[in-house]
Amino acid sequence: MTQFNVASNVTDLRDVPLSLVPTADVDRILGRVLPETVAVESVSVAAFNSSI
Amino acid sequence: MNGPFVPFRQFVLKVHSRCDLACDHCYVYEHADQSWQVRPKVISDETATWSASRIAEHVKRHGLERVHIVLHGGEPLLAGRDRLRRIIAELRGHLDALCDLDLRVHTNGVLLDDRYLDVFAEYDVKVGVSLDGDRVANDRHRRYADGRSSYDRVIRAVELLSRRREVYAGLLCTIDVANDPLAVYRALSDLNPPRIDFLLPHATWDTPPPRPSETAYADWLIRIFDAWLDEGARVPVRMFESILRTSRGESSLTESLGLEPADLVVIETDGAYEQADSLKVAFDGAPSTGLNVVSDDLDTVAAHTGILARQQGLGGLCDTCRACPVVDSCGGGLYAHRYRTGSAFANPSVYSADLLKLITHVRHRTAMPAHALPYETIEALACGYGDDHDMEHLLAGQRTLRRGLLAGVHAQRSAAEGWDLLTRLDAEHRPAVDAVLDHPYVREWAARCLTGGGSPGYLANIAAAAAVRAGVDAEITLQDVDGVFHLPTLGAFEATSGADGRLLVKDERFTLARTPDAVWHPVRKIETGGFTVILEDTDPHRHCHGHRAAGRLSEEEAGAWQRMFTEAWSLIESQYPRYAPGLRAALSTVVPLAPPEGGDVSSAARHAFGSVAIALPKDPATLALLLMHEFQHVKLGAVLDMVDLYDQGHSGLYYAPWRPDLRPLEGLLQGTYAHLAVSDFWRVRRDSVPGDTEVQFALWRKHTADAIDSLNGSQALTPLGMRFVAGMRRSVEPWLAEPVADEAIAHAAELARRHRAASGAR
Repeated sequence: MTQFNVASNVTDLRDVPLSLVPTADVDRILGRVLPETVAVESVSVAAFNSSI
Repeated sequence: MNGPFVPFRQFVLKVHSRCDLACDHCYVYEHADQSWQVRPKVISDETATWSASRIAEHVKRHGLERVHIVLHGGEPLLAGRDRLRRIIAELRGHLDALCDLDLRVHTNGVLLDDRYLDVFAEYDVKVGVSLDGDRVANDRHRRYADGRSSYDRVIRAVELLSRRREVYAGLLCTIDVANDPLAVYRALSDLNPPRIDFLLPHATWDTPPPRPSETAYADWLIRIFDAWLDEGARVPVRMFESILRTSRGESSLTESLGLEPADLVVIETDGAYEQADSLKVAFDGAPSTGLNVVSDDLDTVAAHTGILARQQGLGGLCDTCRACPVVDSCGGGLYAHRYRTGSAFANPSVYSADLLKLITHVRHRTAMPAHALPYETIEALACGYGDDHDMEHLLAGQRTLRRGLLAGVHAQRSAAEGWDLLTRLDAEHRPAVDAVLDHPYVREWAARCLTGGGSPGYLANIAAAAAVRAGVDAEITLQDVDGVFHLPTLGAFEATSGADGRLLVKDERFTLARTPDAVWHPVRKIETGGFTVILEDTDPHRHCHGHRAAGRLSEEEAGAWQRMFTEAWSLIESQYPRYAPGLRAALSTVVPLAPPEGGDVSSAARHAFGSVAIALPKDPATLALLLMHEFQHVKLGAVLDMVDLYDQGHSGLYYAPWRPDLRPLEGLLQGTYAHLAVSDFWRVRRDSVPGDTEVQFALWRKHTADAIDSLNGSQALTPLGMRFVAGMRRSVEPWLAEPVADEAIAHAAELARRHRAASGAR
């Protein structure tokens, strides 16, 4: 039997290492369960290749 | 070239143009551009001041909140401590009052000592070191001019940095595919740096890299990526993080990947502005702009055609790149790597085949599906029930939310010690971590932290509990929260005065190191018929239910809970079998509330999925009712966490027959869903206990049906919300047709009328 699903916009993070949980997914989760905490999106820097 | 003006936010300040090593792969000395030969060896104080004032001028003009400056070379430490101190002080003096200045130095490490590190610590300068892997890998290229190895001196520098992590930025490794990739990765990761990056050796189509096979660089990196991912990505690797980020539409962390416009400029030791210095590999003079800090401001440099060419995003790439499926991650690769005589930079990267293979592999291995709720589960829940299979979907979503919120706490509120231990356990002992994160009040704690309260240090308590569960030896300092050192799922130590919370976990035993006689309160469990829940009276985050939680129960009180729970559960299983599977699958915790002055109190908290709070009532039937009622809130909260049932922007307020005040739409929906179970409880109960139960059924079925009408009339339900509410109606409608004594109906109607009148609602 075909199983129809209602898709959530929450990425399944159960198998994602904690250290690799994407910022965008954290923001999406915050937007769902703590909407008052979602801050203005910060802009990351594509950093100079020859330093770290 | 059209496009918005892009101010510079990254500045590479060349403070010394010579180096004390003679690495044969160095792009500064060993490639096409030889401009280093005519530069001053060291930047003058005057040029440093001009540089600082030009950057400050640019920051002010464009209102920049944050800029990044890298002190670079050659080898920057050859400038000497005193000169570096003056340069750094000049930069901080010009910029600290204007913006957030991220200041770094990148060194080969051979001169680094504690006196340099004292200067860097004083001025908050992060230090990155070049190291190409183990001794064999490093010494393949990174040698002194006389052929001596640099390895021991670099390792000594890294060890110094490991002891001063506040100034440690990470390690930079240039790839040589002749090296064993896993040996290189292990050598670097075993040093436990804050971050690693792997650099493709600079090359162009004119001077391609050594390439033993068509995708040798991809194959080399894929072996590392797989090991890195399998080990939980414990040490951040900038290249891999950037591929993952750009694959999700986020920004890259390195200019060598992604489509972000370049916002970087180099200032040479003579004050000359240059484009990215990796262009030195293309042709002699390639990075040159002809502009200088003394005569030209940075806006003039930003208008240079070479700078603008690197700000065109997708439009700046060749046709081949634009048509590539991974272009959003690759971005055409590092600009310099595209160069070919004749077509200049209008080519794919010389590493194009490697980047395509690597990015495709990373995406394939990390493809992340979204959560979904099957319609059958939605239907079962909408009708008020839901079995173990349906609960699995809610539990899965909650586990994701807790992991996401934990990462959010770490990102916003640093709690390094706990995070380090937890991520290590997460990589190696995931079931133990999951068991702790599934504790309902972990999310409540995270929510408090993320809303400005809470104690981020409690992350150490979470990690410690996971270590105990995993049987991993550890030593960590616990956070005192409300007078206890709590270990979620395990219990709490009383935090007596003078106790510092240093916990020792060894050989599967744990104790407070300096107060071994600290009083320990283990969590208790109540169990019946193979169904076990935690009787939670130790967690300081349980005080979130709007009613006072009971303190630590006596053995007698705990026994009373066990006895009443046994009878209540028996009633639910026998009389309300459609509610039992869901409760058994997802109710993990009951929090005893303090006895109220009169009546019964119970509560569910949105962030504490799997838990209900109840003051022990007078009889098991009431406990069964309260468990069913509150668990409805738990289920619906988890549904709302995943999907939208109503318009979040709707501001209407509604009469709710169980409340004295008007309620927002979500409140009405939650209450209606809970009273679906309440109606059902009294519907069944009246058969075995006649009397007031008949009135209660008549009252609550009517209230519930009326509330469903209000929800439908709100015009604010999503299509899925309408479907959900229709499911609720399907349950209550047959109950409306069940015969009830006229007297009970009249009494219920009178109670309903009085409530509405008292509420002031029309």
